[in-house]
Amino acid sequence: MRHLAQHFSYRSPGPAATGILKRACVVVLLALSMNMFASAQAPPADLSKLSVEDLMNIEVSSVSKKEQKISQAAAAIFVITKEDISRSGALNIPDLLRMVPGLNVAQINANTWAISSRGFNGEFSDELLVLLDGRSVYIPTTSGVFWDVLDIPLEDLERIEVIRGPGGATWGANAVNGVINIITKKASATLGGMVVAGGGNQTQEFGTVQYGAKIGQNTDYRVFSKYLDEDHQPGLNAPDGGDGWHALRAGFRSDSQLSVSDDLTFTGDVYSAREGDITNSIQSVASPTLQETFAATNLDGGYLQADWNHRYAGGSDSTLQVSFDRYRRNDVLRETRNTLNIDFEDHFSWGGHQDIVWGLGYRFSSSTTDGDLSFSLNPPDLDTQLFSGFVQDEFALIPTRLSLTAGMKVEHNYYTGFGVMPTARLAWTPHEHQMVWAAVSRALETPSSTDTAENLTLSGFVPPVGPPVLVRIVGNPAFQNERHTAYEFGYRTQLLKRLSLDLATYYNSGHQLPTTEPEASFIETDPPPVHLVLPLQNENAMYGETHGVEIFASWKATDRWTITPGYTYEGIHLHVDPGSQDTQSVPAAEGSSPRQWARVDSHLTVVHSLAWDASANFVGRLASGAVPSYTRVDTQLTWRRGEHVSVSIVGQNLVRDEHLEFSSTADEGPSNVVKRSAYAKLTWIFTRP
Amino acid sequence: MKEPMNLARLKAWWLAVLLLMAAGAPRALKGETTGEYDVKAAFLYHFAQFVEWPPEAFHDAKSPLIFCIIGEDPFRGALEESVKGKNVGNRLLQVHHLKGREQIADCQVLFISSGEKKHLGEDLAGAAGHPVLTVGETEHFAEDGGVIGLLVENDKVRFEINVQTAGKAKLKISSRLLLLAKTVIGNED
Repeated sequence: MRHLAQHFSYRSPGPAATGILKRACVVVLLALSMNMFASAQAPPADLSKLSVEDLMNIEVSSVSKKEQKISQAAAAIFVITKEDISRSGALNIPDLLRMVPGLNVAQINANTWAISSRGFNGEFSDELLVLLDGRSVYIPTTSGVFWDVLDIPLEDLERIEVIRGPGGATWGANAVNGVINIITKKASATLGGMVVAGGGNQTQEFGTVQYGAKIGQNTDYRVFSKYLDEDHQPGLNAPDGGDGWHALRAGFRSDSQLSVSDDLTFTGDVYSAREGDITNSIQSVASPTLQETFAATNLDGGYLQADWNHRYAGGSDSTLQVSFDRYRRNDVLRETRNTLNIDFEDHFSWGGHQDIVWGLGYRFSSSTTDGDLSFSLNPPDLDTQLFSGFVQDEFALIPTRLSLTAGMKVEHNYYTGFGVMPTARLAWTPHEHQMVWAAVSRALETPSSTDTAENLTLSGFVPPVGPPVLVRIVGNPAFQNERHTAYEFGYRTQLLKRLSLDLATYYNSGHQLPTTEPEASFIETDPPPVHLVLPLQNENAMYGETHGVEIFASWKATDRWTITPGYTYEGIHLHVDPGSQDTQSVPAAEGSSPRQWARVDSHLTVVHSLAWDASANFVGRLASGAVPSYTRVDTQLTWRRGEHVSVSIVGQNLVRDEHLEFSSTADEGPSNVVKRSAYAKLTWIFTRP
Repeated sequence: MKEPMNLARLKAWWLAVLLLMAAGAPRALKGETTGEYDVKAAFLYHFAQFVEWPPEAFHDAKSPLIFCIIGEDPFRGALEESVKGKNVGNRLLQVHHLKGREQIADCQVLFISSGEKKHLGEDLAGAAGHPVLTVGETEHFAEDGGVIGLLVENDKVRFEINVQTAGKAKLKISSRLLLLAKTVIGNED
């Protein structure tokens, strides 16, 4: 009856009751609007006054989590979070990596990048290991990475972890100067539909269509397709650098929970791309002059990967990863490669103070090539196997204060047999906001197919008397491992609640670094006519040291404004062994990376729905090829409507139009310049549960 | 009568605006990001309100309810701020930073940060057999033997509850909290 009465009085209240109701409404309204005002301005001072339901609706920034993880690693680590990704304005992974102190990122042309860490940069920079969800995307032909076919949708990235310095003890050979670990989001984080579409003067059209859903109770999946059409960049001496390209990709990820302690993940994609390239090469023995030729290259490939994770009670776990990867590149080498990879990893705690990770790995890789006079491999077809095992033990010398990590990886590769890569890392946490770490590691760079089997014809001439002469770099089947020993020291601190600082220094000594040495000339009859070859053979006759310092700070000036400055200095001194006749390799390697680098990023939330991001990046000159220093300025304005729609306008490389970032060396095509560019992008997310 | 008619219309307007604002408020909250651990600290405070401890969990009727943090403190003061001057029932709330696992038995709520990942087994073993509400943030925390696992999904904080572990610790978790949980593990039915 009371209820009815209330209803009744509510429907036709007397004058007094109306007054009370009205006043109550005003009070509630005021309270609500203040609450809304407060939440739009700054987070409410006392979150504990909100209900659990409201708390569940608050978006959190996981910056503190990132900082916490970083503050525990005894290595020079930098994490690009998904927020960093969306606020960078970058459309590809190389442009994202520009923000990392200690990485050298240089664009060679519209479809090719040179990326390295701590020196020794090149198109096939071979001392950096790149992993996509734990799967190595290393190319055994060159030991490099094809960045062009790594154009996965950036919206699906969870984070990118970049470790400078040797990661060999865990990740294996060729992680000499760094590891880049690209991690995609779980399928449960991308449920619903997503459409990304945009275009501009350089990246002329791009788009991603994605859909994610649940199958039954325990499986989430997403499928996507991505298209990219990139304009050519200007050449150094021509308006068209001939490097335009387009790529189409389709992929998926599924995550299943098989039981409370077992997860199974499948990932995979297929792609097809076509890209232009201008090369300088020798095409005929009879008239052996360098000819600039344009070629359009077809690329296709794909991979399938399965990850099975099992957790035991008490926090230990095992992971088995199996992947198959195939690619075809119809460039000068016309290579087809199939790779099977199996990795097992187990992690457990032992005796209270020790945390142990160990693993075993196997890789089978089969390659067929069909090169030409300018570049070929001998033998053209090769199957290689790689066996590896590692163990790493982290033990607490003083609980929560001092810990030591000792690890070692043993690998057996096709060319040089067994190799051992040990590391020892000490982490001291005198205070919860401070950490000092030091490490000494040995890393190996194992030979690639080009080191051991290449025939790269550099130049030629027809003498007044006698047969034509070709100058050629030839592979060395006895090519050795490059050996590096790295000493590192770092310090991290949270100076104030809003200011953190990260400093890393290193001294790296390298031996058996690559050179080319003249060998006895010989007569070759195939291809005709008969000609004389002056061979330069790949050798390991260079040694030297690199040292440097990398500083990075993050300052949250206000709740809406973050400024992150960074600076790096790098010194490199190389020498050749007595008896070496190589005069090129020392200046080429010493001058391949800038001595100084500086950058500042600013991220400002202007109002709740509008964000402005900007970055300025100074890169010092490259002595090799005389690439002048440059400053690159990028900016992005993003307008967001709720959680579902956002529009961005991005300007890239605004200061110096048409600047050179890298210079070609003998075995790489001519570099193009990078032009000023702008694009607009629309992101629409729908039916997200 | 003219006046009541007008008032009724005015009231209808107020109600409409009110509803709109009520609908708008959570959306405004959604767009803004807040420190992860500020939010997690508020969650911890709420968990204490939705859990009933057995009498033997406290020395006497006036003993405070103690939140403990083991390992590095990711809250950086946010938890103290969240519980400062507040009560659950008649009990004052306090925050302690543990130096060793021996003190776990004195806690009512034990927060195990992601930094403790490697010592998770030992931390949980320290809490086993005592009426301690273990709250963690490592992956699969509730499955690994914790009571409440916090996780961040699409930038929002969610939680999982293991009622079996809660039962072993003699904790009663309110059905309202169970309804809000993303997953409830160990339910008999």
